[in-house]
Amino acid sequence: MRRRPKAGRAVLLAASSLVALLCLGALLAPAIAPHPPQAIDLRSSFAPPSQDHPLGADKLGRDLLSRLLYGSRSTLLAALLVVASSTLLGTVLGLVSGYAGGLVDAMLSRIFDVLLAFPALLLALLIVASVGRGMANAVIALAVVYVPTIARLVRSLTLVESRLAYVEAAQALGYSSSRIVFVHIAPNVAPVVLVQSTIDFAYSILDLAALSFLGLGVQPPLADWGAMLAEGREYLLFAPSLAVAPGLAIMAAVIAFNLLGDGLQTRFDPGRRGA
Amino acid sequence: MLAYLARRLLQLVPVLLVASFLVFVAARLTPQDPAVVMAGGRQTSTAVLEAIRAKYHLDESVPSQYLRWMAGALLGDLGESYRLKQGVSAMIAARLPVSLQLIAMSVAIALLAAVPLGILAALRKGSWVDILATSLSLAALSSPVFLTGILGILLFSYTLGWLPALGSGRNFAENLRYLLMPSVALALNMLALSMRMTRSGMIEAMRRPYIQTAILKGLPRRTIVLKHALRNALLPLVTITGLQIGFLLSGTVLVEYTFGLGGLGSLLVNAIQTSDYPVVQGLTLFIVSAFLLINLLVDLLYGIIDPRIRQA
Repeated sequence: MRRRPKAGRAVLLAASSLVALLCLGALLAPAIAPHPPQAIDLRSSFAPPSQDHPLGADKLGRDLLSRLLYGSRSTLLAALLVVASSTLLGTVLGLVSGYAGGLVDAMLSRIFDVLLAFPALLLALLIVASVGRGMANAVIALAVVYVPTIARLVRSLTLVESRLAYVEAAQALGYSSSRIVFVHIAPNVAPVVLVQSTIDFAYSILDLAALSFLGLGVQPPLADWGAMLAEGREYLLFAPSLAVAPGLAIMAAVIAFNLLGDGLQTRFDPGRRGA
Repeated sequence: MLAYLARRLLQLVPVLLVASFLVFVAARLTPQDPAVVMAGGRQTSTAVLEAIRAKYHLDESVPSQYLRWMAGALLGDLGESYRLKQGVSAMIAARLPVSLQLIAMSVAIALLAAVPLGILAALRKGSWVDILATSLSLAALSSPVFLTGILGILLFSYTLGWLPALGSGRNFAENLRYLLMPSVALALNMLALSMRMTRSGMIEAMRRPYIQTAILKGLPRRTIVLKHALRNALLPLVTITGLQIGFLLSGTVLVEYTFGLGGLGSLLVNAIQTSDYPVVQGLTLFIVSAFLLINLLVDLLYGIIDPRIRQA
């Protein structure tokens, strides 16, 4: 499918509206949720959808819709923390490694080699096993896992950029290395980093949900999509929506950020539009 | 070729050494005292804890414990589980077949579906087939494997009653039925990614001048697509296989947990949940080594398919 610029814009618009909707739901959760997310009401245990509980209630009578809305807060916040910290650290390390070259580059590259020798989720599991379960530790683990990919990407871009004329000109003017790297090169690698971090956002939602699903991320009774799915799995036969609804929420969020990444890529890199 | 292989194998040694040290230290950084875990987590007298520490060499320094562990690992002995008092190597050997069969079935399903679909989507670029395949691949890439698994259980086990929901069979043949749903769930991600790679590779290849030449020569379309274009289109597919193996190995953990399969993935999750660190570190080392070796094999395969790489 050859995407005309118009079709590209449509994808971008649809994706950003979906992302905006998700963020809005998370921000307004206290205002629009019909119940507090932890409110236990045993009389409405496994209640079917009704006016009071639009999507029904779980075993403890907690409102499913309210828990989904509040769950989006922890999911989006955790993914944001993972992506922001890994992108920042990975970009700085990649810029330094690519521009400095020599021993610094060799040492950083070996460290990334070792980290990339682990399948992503396995490294995250190992870190969580070592520092303990919980949302904060899951975020730290995934941030560490994502750094080498970003750093490698930025390093290769920096290698290309640093041979270009504008960098030579800046060197001839006697600018300091840190100024050249952070003022001149950084803005030129930023679009690619932005696209990558959007796609990483989608992956980190998936990976965080996976950790919570395995009981190693966000811990019940906190409302979190992955943790809710794990809890709901026990009553799969009896009340399938308890597991399926948070699962679909995860999927919708991931689709939104994947589409946003695709749209941004088309926007910044017209050469790849056909592919 | 042999020199190349030897060089690549040598390059793996330092990476594996550092990775193994990382694995060992990670398992030792834990807040829990291994001696307490082994004593069953209960209040125990210091004398008992001292005896356990002495028996398992936990009173030695970390570097010396690491050397002892590595020396054992090189001989195939990965230590003993805290909880089950079994050898970790034996536990891995017992659970490896299920995971291997799961991964093999997934790779077969993914590639057998992805390549024809990718070719079809590329040749009918912009048609409804293409749009459907591309949209479905986005859905597959965005769906967590445990959601796909749960939906599969609901539909094929509870509603239709075609397939068993949980567990595995007693032998290979029985497992084909038990593992069908788990391996489809695991395959979807790889299927989607491979389909996209085949599609864009085919679109790229069909634009090349040598395809024009082949068309002008009057070669049958079948020959042009399957022989001339496909071989070049499949190269990028081989490149991303390493990445996909990482996905598959991570995915087995989730799929085995979802479907209650007794493979390596569920062993790892159980070991982490019960703080059984010898199992965690031995199994992680095993999976990382396997991952690195498979990646090396893929690189070699790439060299065989594309002679340009070997000469470089």
